[in-house]
Amino acid sequence: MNNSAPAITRHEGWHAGRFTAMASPCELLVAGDDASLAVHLTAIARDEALRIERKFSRYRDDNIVAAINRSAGQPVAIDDEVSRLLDYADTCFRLSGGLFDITSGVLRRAWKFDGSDRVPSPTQVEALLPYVGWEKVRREDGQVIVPPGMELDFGGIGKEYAVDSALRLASAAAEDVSLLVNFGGDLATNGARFGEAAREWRVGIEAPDGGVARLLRIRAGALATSGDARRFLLKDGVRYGHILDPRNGWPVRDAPRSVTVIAGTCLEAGTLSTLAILQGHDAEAFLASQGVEHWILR
Amino acid sequence: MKKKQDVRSALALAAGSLLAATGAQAGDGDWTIDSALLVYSETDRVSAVEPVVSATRDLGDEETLNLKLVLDSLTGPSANGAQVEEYPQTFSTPSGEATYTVPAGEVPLDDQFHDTRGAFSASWTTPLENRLWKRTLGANVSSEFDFFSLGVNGALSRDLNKRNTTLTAGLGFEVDTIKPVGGVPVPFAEMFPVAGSKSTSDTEDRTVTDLLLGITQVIDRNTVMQFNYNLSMSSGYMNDPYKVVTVVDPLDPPGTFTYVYENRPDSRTRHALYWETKHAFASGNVLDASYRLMTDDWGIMSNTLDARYRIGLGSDWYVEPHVRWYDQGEADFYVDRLAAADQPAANDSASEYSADYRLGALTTVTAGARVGKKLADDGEAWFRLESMTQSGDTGQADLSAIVLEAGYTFKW
Amino acid sequence: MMRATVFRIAALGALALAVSGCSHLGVEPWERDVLARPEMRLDADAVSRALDDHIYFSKEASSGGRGFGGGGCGCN
Repeated sequence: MNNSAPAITRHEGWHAGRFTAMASPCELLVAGDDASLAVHLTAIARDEALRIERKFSRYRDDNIVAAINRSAGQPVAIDDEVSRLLDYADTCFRLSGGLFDITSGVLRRAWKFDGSDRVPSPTQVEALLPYVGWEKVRREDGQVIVPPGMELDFGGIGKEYAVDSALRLASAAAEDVSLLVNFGGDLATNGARFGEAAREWRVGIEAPDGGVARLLRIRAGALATSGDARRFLLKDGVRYGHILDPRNGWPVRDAPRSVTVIAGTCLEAGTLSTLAILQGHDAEAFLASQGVEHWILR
Repeated sequence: MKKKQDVRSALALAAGSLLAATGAQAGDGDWTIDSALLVYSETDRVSAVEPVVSATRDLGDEETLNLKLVLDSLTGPSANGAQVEEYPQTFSTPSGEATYTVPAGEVPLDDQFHDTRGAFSASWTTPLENRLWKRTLGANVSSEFDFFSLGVNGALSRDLNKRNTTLTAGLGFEVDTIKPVGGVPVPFAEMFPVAGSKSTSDTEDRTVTDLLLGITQVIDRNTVMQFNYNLSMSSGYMNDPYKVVTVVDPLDPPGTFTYVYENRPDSRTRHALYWETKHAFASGNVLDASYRLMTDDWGIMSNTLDARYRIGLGSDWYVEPHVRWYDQGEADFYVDRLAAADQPAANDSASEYSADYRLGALTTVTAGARVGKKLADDGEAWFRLESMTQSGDTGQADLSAIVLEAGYTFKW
Repeated sequence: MMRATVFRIAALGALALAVSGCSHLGVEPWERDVLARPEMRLDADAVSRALDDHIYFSKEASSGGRGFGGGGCGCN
């Protein structure tokens, strides 16, 4: 945990506060010349990012996720925030016809996307499938019951949730100040604030070769990217991307390497981009039908 | 996978509900109570006190239930339809059991007017399929000692164009029962003698069917606009049982008048077009302007202009000046007095005359202001003071009133 | 759901924008900040509006438009 004061840099007309959370470089951009405000708001954003990381990371053994994943089929009491995240995950599951499934993390026991050729055997994958399936998770009276051997993984929505939540808290602390929250490339802005001249943020999308592939101007809304071109397996000339289809445990066929979407909130943008990858060959058609601005890298 | 905009709008809603509750913990399961008290006082005429409690429950997922109770207590004299004359005039009370005399030069007012009304309404709104459709079902009942009304209504609305456009269609149906004090007057029967002026039936009824078509459009980030068309068809007993028409006969001695009970058509079809827009300025102040055009088959046409400008004072307080201007033309069957030669025979229901000033040419001007303070948890306390002035072709129409309202909104 | 960002995205900065470029009717869902204010709702002050409607219904020959006209009461 990095609880030291965030690093603040001054720019023409705005300030940036930087810190690390969720294994990503994070930043909060604050319009205006008030450095102390930037310090204050960055601390708020950082605290929220760290709070969510502590609570929802699957790499810790002292949080609610660990308690649920150790529960071996026993009911676990959950608070309102966990309940609302599960509601959101449930919506995603239903909207995607079961493709977006927060129980699919157990498949990682078979799949290690390290660029090697170690593709698991069909038997290995088959053996894990009984432990995948959100529909097997039951919820009642502030409790969740996850069958033995199954796990929940908030990795697909946690960072986007943190972006939106940090932005909301920082915005509430400074009305009428334009803000941009960027956690490792998933970002959200609070739009031009009421009573202030409209302000837009310039956001560069970095190309795989390191250059700026595209320069966007964002006045309101959020942007998120799913996919990772560096996480794959390659065997006998076949590329296995790291997004897995929870129905059969294998990588989604013809999946784009990455998808970037602009939407109202980071959660929506991130979920839409993940859903697009899960569509495989139909990713372009899916995003076109949603009427959102997007970029797909194949 | 669902296609089209379904996924996106459903995700937007899901993300909204996930993010919305983090801090406030409000929302589902709360009743929002809007309470208000109206004190209405006309100079020399009617006074009314009207408390209202409206309770809205958020059932989650955009489903809401609203229950509303209104009580209404009226006292004071009311114009009986007869005109101001240069002589004292004597009338029968509605019950027929007494008479009252109005001095020369004064508007004839029936001071027996006391009434208490209770009204209850309920409405239930549910989102339908993917929440772009909404359905509202409602019912209302209203009761006073001489009037009873029962109504049901329903509306469907559809959000389009990223919810920037909402189309609404609604239907309402209402049955009113009128039981005038002292019996139902016979049309054009003379007020005196009382015996024989009332019909054998003591109740009458009418039905009202309403159609409402509306479109709400978000214009830009700061502006929203609404257009409605409202068709209202009433059928049945449309008379005001307490209103008479003065008949003047040049052959009678000066100061002698005859009063006959009015009679109106037994149906009425109204068309109203309504436009409203709200615009928020960069200062945060909000202009709310509306215009209504109404015409009906009674020959009445009216224009209503209403403007409110809400000015923020600091973060919690606001003041909202309000002006309203209303102007109507007279109904085809409106007369101020009737010449004896034109006096229909008693029970001639084919003839139609009324001297009710509310059917004559009339202008109403209302001006005032509301002051309010926002409270925690979306609560609000407010107070409103307005003055209303009516004027028309006759002395009956000259009326001024003070409108006082106080309201308090809170979560419960 | 394993995922990470392939495009590293850097926010480069801010600049003031004088004029909004959009000319079509309506707003994006995330531009509803002003319209979401309670006083911008077209059904705001419903209780007060209903009290007004009742007054004017009793004093004028017109009703409805904003909502149903109804048969109203027998009041003067």
